[in-house]
Amino acid sequence: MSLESLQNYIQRNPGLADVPIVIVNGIALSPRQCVFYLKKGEMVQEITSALQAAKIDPPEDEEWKLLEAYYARKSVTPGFPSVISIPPYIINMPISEILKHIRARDEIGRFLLKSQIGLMEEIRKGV
Amino acid sequence: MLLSIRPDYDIATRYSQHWLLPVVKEARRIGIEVVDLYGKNANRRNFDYYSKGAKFIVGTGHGSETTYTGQNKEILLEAGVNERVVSGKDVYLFSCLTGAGLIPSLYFSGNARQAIGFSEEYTWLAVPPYDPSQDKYGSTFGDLAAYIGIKLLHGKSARDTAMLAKARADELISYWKKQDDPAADEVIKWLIHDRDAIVAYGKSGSVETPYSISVAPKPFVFPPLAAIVAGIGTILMFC
Repeated sequence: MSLESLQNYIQRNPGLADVPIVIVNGIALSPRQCVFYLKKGEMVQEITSALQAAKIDPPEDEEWKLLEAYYARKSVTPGFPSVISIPPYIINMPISEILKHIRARDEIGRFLLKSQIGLMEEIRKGV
Repeated sequence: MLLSIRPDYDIATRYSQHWLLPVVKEARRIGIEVVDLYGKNANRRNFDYYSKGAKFIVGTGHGSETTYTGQNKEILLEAGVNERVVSGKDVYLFSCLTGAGLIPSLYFSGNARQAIGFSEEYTWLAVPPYDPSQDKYGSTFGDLAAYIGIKLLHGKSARDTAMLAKARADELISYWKKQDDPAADEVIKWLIHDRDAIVAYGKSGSVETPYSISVAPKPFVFPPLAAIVAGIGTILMFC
């Protein structure tokens, strides 16, 4: 994984550039944020190691935190609906309520986590 | 004859019934007679009556590992109970979880000629005002749902249809990856989920997911042993 390959990935896949995929120094980082720090020369070793480790066996607790970070950012992303449905489980639910399910790690939270892991794996194998 | 079943009574069925319209239109276009059970007509009485003359059964509605339901969740098909109504037919149930039990049972019990469905919930991103004809995110998932039915109508085997559908899902994922849209990642997430849940069973081979059978958490009606052995033989032939 290099800065160049990350930049290429973001350029080719803007739709996946802002999904948090690793936690570095307590911060959930997306591919775009990784590029930001790498360009500045900050946390270079930590980001590189975290990306490599995430491809192998990421701890479940970190995956939960990344899921929470993902929807927390969606709640303030311009253009992302504040209320969504993900039939059949989630019907007309505000993002703030989705976050409550994730924090409670209940059935809806676990359902979301499983799919989020699929999304993160898709990104991690590409970066 | 194509028997189409399209209940419409909540947000999920509002979308899913709309998404099967292209299958109905395509059948008519290529000269296949259609009986379209929409809304309150998607009931058990009509299903039992019209399924007799059908070659294809394409239905949406809520489902579980063992049941497929019509309007207001009336059970239309139940594993081990009334599977004979699909005898000799091509069945596509665009319905959550049926691929984890009912779909393989329809085939392995010696009834359906071939059967396709989803081993997990078919899940999508829908946004207010929940109009399936205007929802740009939802329509992507409708594309995939209709694609399967249309391929079956055109004589593709269940196995080939499933493989083509997974490839179609990959095309849709690639499209959304390139979009600088605030919900592109959310769309991709559920496309991956749905793609991986497609299962198919038929004489030309089967397509299963890693978790379609082995992790089915709820009661599963097992087919007769002979059917299981025959099914495994079919699967191994095409591995």
